[in-house]
Amino acid sequence: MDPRAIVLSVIAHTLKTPAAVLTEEKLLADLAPDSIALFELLINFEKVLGQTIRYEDIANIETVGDIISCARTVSQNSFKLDAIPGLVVHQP
Amino acid sequence: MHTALTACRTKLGETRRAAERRTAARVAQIVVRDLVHLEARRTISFPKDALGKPHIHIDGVSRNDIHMSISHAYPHVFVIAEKGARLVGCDVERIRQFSRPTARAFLTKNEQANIARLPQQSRAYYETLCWSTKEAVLKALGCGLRLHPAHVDTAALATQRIPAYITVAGKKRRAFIWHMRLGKGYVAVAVALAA
Repeated sequence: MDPRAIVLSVIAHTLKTPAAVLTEEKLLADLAPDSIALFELLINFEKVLGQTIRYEDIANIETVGDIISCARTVSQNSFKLDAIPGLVVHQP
Repeated sequence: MHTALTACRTKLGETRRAAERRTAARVAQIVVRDLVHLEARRTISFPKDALGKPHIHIDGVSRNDIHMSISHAYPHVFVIAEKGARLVGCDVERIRQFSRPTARAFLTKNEQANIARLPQQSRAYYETLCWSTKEAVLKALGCGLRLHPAHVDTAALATQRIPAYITVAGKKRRAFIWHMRLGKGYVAVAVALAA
């Protein structure tokens, strides 16, 4: 599974944004309507990864590209897609 | 068609949030100018540190003796500033019904127990109040969401005493907490912590 496609799908699903507009340089703070939405994104991201993210790692996450890098580092290509009901992963 | 409309809404949302941030910065300038009786010709800026906390610079010089926090949730902008050693943070949020997994993720056991005792119609308000208080505390500490909100226990709020003792990452901290409802739909919280 492509971590990039999965991350974009989780962001699109959580923030109700089309995956097509999610370029890697987009700031998450610009995409999320508020801090609660950002927190929900983190929860969904952890669900898909099947593990909690160290908060030291979150300090470096600001953009869509940062989340993709984080997913590549911590996922070991293992994702739990059924942890988020209704999540559809669109392969590029 | 649906995707095009959603993309358009996303772009509008980004533009609106950028405008909100500019408005909030202008309000913060007014608040700080008023607090330190600053002449109009002096310039104020709010550069952020590595963790995103804004600091006050007057004519390019850092003013570590003034603490400030900014929050906005359309149509509200909330700014708190104080001279002295206390750390301040504020937050304004739209009152909402949280999904159960989200609420369980950020509420401590004590907070969940307090909220379970409330009538159903009050729970959305108190859950949002808990979130907002945690965010204000984390902003005062300068770490934002880099410390998990579940590590801030605001259960002492239920006693309605000021100052209250809240727990941050297992340590008790003396906190002055004010909160108010803005109309029917929003809650605002201001926090001052001893440095």
